[in-house]
Amino acid sequence: MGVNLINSCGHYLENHRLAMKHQIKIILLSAIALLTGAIVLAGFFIKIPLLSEIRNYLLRWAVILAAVGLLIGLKNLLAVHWNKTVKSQPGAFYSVVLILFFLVTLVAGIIASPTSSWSMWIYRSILLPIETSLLAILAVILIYTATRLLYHRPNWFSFVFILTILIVLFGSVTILPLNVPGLTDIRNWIIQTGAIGGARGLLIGVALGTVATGLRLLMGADRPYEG
Amino acid sequence: MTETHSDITPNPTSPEQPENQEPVTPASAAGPVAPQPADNLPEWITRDLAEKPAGATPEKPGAAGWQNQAMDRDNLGRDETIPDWIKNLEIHDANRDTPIPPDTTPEPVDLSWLAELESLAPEATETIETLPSTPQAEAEPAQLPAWLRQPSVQPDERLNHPAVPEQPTPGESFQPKAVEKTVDQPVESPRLLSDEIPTEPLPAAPTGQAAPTVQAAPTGQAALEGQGIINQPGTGGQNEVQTGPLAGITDLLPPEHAVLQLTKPPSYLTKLQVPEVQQGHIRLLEEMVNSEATPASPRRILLVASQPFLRILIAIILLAVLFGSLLTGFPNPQQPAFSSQTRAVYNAIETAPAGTHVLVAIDYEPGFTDEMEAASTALMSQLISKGIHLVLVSTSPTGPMQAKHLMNTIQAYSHSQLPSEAYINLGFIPGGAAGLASFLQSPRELLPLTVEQNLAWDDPAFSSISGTGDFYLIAILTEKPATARDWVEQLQQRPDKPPVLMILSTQAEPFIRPYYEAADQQVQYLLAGLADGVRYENLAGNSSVASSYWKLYGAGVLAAIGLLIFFSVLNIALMIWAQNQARNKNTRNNKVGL
Repeated sequence: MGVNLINSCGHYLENHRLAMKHQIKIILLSAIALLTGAIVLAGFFIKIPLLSEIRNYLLRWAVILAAVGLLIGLKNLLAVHWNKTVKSQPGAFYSVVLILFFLVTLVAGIIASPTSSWSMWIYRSILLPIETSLLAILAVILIYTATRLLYHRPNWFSFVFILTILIVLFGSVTILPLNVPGLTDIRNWIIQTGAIGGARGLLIGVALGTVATGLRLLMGADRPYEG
Repeated sequence: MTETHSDITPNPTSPEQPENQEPVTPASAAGPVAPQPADNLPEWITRDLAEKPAGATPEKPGAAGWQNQAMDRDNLGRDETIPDWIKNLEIHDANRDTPIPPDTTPEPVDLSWLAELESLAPEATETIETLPSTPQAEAEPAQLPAWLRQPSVQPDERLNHPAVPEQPTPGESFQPKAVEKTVDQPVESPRLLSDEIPTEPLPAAPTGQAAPTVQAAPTGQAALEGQGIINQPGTGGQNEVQTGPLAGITDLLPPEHAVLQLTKPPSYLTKLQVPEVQQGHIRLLEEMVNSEATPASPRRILLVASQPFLRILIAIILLAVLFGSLLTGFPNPQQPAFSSQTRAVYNAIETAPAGTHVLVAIDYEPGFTDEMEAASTALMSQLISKGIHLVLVSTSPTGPMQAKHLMNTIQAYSHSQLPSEAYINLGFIPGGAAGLASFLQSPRELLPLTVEQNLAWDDPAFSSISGTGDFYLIAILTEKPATARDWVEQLQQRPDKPPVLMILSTQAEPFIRPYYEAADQQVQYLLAGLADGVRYENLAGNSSVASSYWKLYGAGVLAAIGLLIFFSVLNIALMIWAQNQARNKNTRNNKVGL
């Protein structure tokens, strides 16, 4: 019984120690995040040379940490696909291709430079055609989807949508046989009035969301750094 | 008020009763117990008792000799010492003596089992016989039942007395009450065996026909029937004992349903009432269930309605139109109209002094390279030609290669080698908005090296740059609204902010134009898409990338318009056709269902 009591006390003290350690870690991280955010924010409004200097240092640290984070992300990507290849999981072939070209690009960038002839060959021959082809496929899919819209949703909104597409396309290119007077003006009005009105609403919403998120981080309401 | 079944037995000899009515044998006539409380007997009984003298033993004219003997036997030893409850029992016993026609010939019943019982237990008989007689028994020997006083009589002889006539004749009643009485009072079982057990199965009452006695019974009989003392006539045949010594006796035991079920059981409608419409639905459901088990025939799909076919067809048409335009030069769209905003950009570049610096942010993805280079090649060529030094940076990992590719494109269209001091490629700025803010704060400290790992700021052409304010113009090339917004927001808080030129993809123009059209412009110059690139090339007099794309762009837009109109009409027709098919199918199903 005595041994059990001692073990229980030991477990309790160990758990208490871990909890305290976690709590201290949270407090420390929160203090660092709040202090950093407050200094950077104050550097935008208060023109004090020392504050600006500290702010610049912090921003540089952020850049370095972001670069290290990018490297960690690349390492994690490589590890995931390596495990997938070793375990012969479904899609392992694509993982092999990814690892192979990852190593080739890495070697070309490190040995030469990101803009060397090797790297530019990879860019011109692989990256650029693939992404351009994806956008070309997107064009086909958009046309197909627009044509199927009236089949699946034959309502007035669909007709307005299709009509707007046609007006904007007609107004984009002036071809003599198909030139309709005033069509370009209608197209410009749609883009510069209707579309911009909606875009402004989106921008205001994004700005308010950004401010709210920043305030929550600065006040410690959100602590994504706790892990 | 407690009425016995004897109270309702009619007396055929009573002069007061009508001729067609059964004679009533009142209980009071059996002995001195006649003066009963008036509240316990019906009025007609008390009246009859009052008319007859006490102690008289009327002899029933129609009764048999054994009946009169039984009546005499019942009258023996009656005095005032007998308790009232015994008198009541005797009254009941006397009333139980029903008139039995002497001419009935009962069929012998096999009662050998009773003789066997007596032979198996002679000690019991002897014990009864050798019991010491009590004083009361000695004083009242006449109270012994006749079967005890006549032990020589065989059980078969005693049981041969008919209890009831074989067929109830009009004016007579079937009286199974005596049998029930013996069941309810097992103490009197010896008498039951001797006098009341019928020697033959009682005739069953005609089904569905009420006995005359029931019809003439007063209200009190219903109460007795409800209490289970007697059974309802007409149901006796259904409760006949089938086995054992009491075989053939009906209504001996109260039927269980008479005890447990006092009310008429509710009847429920068991037949489902289904209207015609629901029957049609049932048939449809059955057809659906049956069709699940049958393999479905291959669904016939129109070739023009299948998705892969339409996609491939659209792609083939687009490619055919583009190749045809490339080969034939048709169509030849007009050049885009004049634009004041493009003119403003051109004037700003034209007035830029040589040797100044322009920060160029290459922040578009490789997929948008063609559009972005078409919009910016002429401008970049103009900048380089005017001796303006370019500082290329990017917030995208592929930005350094994009910048290199753009410079290579400019060099290819300029047909001349770009000077080494024309630009420096600082590469990628990590950290997103924070990195961008840090770069704008101190570009020298954040990116001291070029992509080729050379010292960026040691070149005499760029050594004069210490901050954002040293740039004549900041040009941002992007197709992403978020990236453009980051640049605008980070530049906005710079006090020495230079003018901002946005060269955008067409898709990002609506999101950035608010910054350009604001009263306090955060974006001073704006170029968007291929059309502005062509306009700028026309202004600069340098037909390069955008102009070469313009014809194919026009052909592609025309093809897209034609495909959109044609397939939209086709899909509308298919939709209407499908709706008609579905409507016709529903109509057929409804006809089949109904």
